[in-house]
Amino acid sequence: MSAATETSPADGGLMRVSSDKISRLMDLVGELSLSVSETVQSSDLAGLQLTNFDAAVHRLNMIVREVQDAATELRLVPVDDVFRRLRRMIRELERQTGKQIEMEIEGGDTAIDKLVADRLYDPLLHVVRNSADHGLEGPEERTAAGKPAQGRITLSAAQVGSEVRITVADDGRGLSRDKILKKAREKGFFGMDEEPEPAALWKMIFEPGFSTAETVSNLSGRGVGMDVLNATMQALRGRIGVDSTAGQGTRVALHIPVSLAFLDCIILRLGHQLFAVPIDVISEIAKPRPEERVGISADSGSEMFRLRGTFIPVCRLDDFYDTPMRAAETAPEPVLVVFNTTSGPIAVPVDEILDRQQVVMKPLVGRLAHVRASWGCALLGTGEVALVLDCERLAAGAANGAPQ
Amino acid sequence: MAQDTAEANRSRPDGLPLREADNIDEMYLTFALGSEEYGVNIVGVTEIVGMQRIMSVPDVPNYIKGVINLRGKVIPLMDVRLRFGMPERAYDERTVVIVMDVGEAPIGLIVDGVSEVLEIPPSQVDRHTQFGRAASRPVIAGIGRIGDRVAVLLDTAVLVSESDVSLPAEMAAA
Repeated sequence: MSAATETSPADGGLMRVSSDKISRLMDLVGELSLSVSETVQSSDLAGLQLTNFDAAVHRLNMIVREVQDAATELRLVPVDDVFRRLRRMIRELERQTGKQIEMEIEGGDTAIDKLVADRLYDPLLHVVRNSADHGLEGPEERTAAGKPAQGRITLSAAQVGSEVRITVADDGRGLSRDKILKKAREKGFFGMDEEPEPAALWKMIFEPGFSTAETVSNLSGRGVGMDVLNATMQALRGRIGVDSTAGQGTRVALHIPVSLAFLDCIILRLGHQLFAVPIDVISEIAKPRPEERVGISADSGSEMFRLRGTFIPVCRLDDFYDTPMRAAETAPEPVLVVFNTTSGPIAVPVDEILDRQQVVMKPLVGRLAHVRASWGCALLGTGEVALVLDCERLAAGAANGAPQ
Repeated sequence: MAQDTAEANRSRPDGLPLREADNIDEMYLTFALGSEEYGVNIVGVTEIVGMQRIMSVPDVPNYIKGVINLRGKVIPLMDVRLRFGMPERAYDERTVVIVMDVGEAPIGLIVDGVSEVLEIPPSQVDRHTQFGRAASRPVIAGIGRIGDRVAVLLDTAVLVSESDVSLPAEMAAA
């Protein structure tokens, strides 16, 4: 990426390459990395004293990783390409809504996978339209509220770890807690007396078919755009967060992985089942003493992990999936892995931490499409297949008393 | 002539190209489940491989035995015996996996053994509608007659779907 920006002055340092060719290269790099791992982990080598070989393997692995990174960077484009298209839409939105809108862009040089960028426009357009249509007030209402007549929408992007966070913030009227809560209760998301946390309530606006707009305008309010947003975010392994303050505005954040091709994962084993977990989700790996695992019989035998004075709910994968993975009556799993999720931390018991690997992800299709709380399958260097856990959905599902 | 066709049929599972005159829609790959002969249309069949190391996957019905890594492709395996509620049978050297593309998704069918590729023209296929419950599309597309032999032709789209496809009791007993 940095190389591309250095050569960007009009010195002819850029060349056009079809994305098909780059995709082919990425596929080959994926296969190369798998086949290198297969070779160096070959069972034929077991038990041999290979001092020089091990050093060469180390170097080879470093090079493969660099080739992977370089190939991934080939496909990175500045997110500004998408932002600029949205800026052009603002004029159109001003004309259609009769509101004055100023659009501000921050972090446009943040790099993102071209495949992600190509799919971001529609969902972002939807969020921006929502802000323009429902969020921002008309000039009179704004002046009356002591705000500048011109509404402001800020598009910003920043890379945090292996994620790109894109936010759409407006300085409009904010979300109406009463209206959304009423609608959410009607639709049965919350009980009549339940008072959900703001973050949980705001998320409701992204539920399919959930629209509080009394009248369907030309721009938004049909609830269809939200479905597009949800489907795209799911396909991109992204997350949506909403924050809103009455009278001050709404902020929608999309968290998306920088690259879709490789995923930096820790490989975990529970019984005969392998799982891969994106590395930035893991906050801690612990070997608990027996007294640090607290069973709560009153809550149908649920378990808590006591870590430095706080209690973290234990989420058992075999219970979650309702699939036995270990022989019955064996000793408790020796390792607890703590995942950080937006629903709070969860501790997942496993038998073993195997490895850290850049895995190649394969989407779950056909008969595997309904496997819950998973992004896809990861092909490991050993030729084995691990299930990539979506810890957000795992934590949310565990909190809702999964399995269904 | 009859011998001619028989020879051509024998060679097809080995991957020899089909003759141009052959109507691919009328070609079926037949396989054994117990003492019965079943068939699937060869249009969706991509290859036939021996049993591989199966890696289990959670959150799937019991007849999905897990996945295999076939040259970098992750393919879920369906044990067709279990799918039909037939008794489970240990895999042996005759057990094979028929790898298919159904609805753009790969699936491997674990069967007792493959027999041959047969051309069964529609005139030799009895389309029984009484199999399965009337409400759902039946998994049995028809019964093919080849001389004095019989092959139960399966609708692969229904076979790999999630609907319940238990066979009538007298067939499941096989």
